[in-house]
Amino acid sequence: MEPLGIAEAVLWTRGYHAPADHREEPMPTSRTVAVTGLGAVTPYGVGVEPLWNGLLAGRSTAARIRRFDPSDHAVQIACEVPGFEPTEHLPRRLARQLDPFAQYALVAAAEALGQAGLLAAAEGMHWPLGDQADSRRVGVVIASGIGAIQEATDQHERLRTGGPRRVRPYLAIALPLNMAGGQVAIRHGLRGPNYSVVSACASASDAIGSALDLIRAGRADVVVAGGAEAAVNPLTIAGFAAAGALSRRNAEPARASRPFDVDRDGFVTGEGAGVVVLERPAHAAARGATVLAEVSGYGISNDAYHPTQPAPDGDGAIVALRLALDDAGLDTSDVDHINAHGTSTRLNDAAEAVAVRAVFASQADRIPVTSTKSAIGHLLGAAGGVEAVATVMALANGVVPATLNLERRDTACDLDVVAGEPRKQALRTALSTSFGFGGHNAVLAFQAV
Amino acid sequence: MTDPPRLDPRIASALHDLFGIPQADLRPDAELDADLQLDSLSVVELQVALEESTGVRINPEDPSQVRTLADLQSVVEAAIVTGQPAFPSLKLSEDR
Repeated sequence: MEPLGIAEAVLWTRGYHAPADHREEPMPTSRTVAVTGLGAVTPYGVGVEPLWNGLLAGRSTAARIRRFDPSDHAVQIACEVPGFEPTEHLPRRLARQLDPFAQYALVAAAEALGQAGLLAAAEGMHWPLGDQADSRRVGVVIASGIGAIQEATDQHERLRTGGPRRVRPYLAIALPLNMAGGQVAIRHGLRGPNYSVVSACASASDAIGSALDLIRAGRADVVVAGGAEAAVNPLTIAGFAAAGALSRRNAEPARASRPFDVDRDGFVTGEGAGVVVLERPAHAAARGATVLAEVSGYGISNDAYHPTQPAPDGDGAIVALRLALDDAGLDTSDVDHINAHGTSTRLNDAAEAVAVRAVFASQADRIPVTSTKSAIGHLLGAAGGVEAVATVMALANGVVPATLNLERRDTACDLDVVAGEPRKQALRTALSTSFGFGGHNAVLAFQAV
Repeated sequence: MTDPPRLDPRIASALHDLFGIPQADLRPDAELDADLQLDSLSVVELQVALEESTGVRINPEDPSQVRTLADLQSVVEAAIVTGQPAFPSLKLSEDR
């Protein structure tokens, strides 16, 4: 039983969809794109609703690691997706082909496309588009920071203990980082632009920024964009702990992620996926889609400074913030919420606060800031995706969830960080910031509708 | 009167665990590609799983002749008779 080449194997499973021509309007038309769908798998569970309810309730999801026995690890806590059973959400055959990071991506993508009203009925392995979009004009940009680490370590263990013949062939399709987006396209028959971007903890925000660019450039009408990560794994936890990035507050997991607090000592690893459906506004309007918010700007830069440390003067972050504002045509006075990167590391939170102050000056006094990571940990390459979902929900609902564990704000973090209770106020414009190892900075601007 | 040959439970269990194929679909004449929708990677995935559950190497002389579940069962039975170990275990000392 010789395997086909990978390309042939993929062709085998690719559904063919007859071309349909829906391009009734000229393009590109708008600098701003619509958000018409949201999807999430987070430490609160599967779906946007448990995420948003959890953030409003201010419940920490950090706990002792259950995925593996962490007893001999310096860091023994994480924010895991609770009770995720892949075959409850995906056909068994498809679930088998995927690392957990891609399973999360497919589940979140289906939720987002479903909310956007773009899906017909599921048929076995496939869940095709309905008739509201031309499949050739629907793209996918799903990022990950780390990718299929579980698949890599599991199969490496089989190689070590059983030899090469014991390594499963699905490794070849489960391992590559692009396969989250590739499998989303195969499952839903999305034949437009499709690639991944990798920029560590800025990955998902860069994916959404890339999707914005694709639509602005006229390359797609709809792009499914976001990030996925499943790095609660002995290898990654050991390595990030060794690098000193993770909180060691093992005895009090719920108090470990404390962005902007003076007693913060590192981030708590989270996992999951956050996906948005971006759409050309005229396309959304023509099919009567509900627009949840808009993405209006994207700023991207690099610190060119250090592999792990942010530039202490916030230089690269400042550039990205200003580029995002310029790209969206916004003034600092327009911004009324920032969903911060806010990892709970000593260096990030201070540098981020310096950058926000440098850009917004006294305006920062009236801008409520929150860190989603205080509740669900740091989802690394998925963080910007889930935080985009949280930012859209904040705009749509006029409420900023609180940052947990902010007991004594670090004086070096001179921002209006929402603490205690969620803050209700009318919101028009929000930024979401993401920064990553490697000096990556990505800032997205969102508008309420 | 003889009972129809029963599918080796290890094959049935692998087909369910790996691909979610229900017992009712597992007729001896079911074709791996046309009926069970097993693409080439899935067939090799199945092969690795069966080698694990049987402990023997499954290595048909002519893979293209393995088209149905009955063919697969014959190959697995022949492999068990031959009894070539599937995964010679490695010793750590040799591995370094």
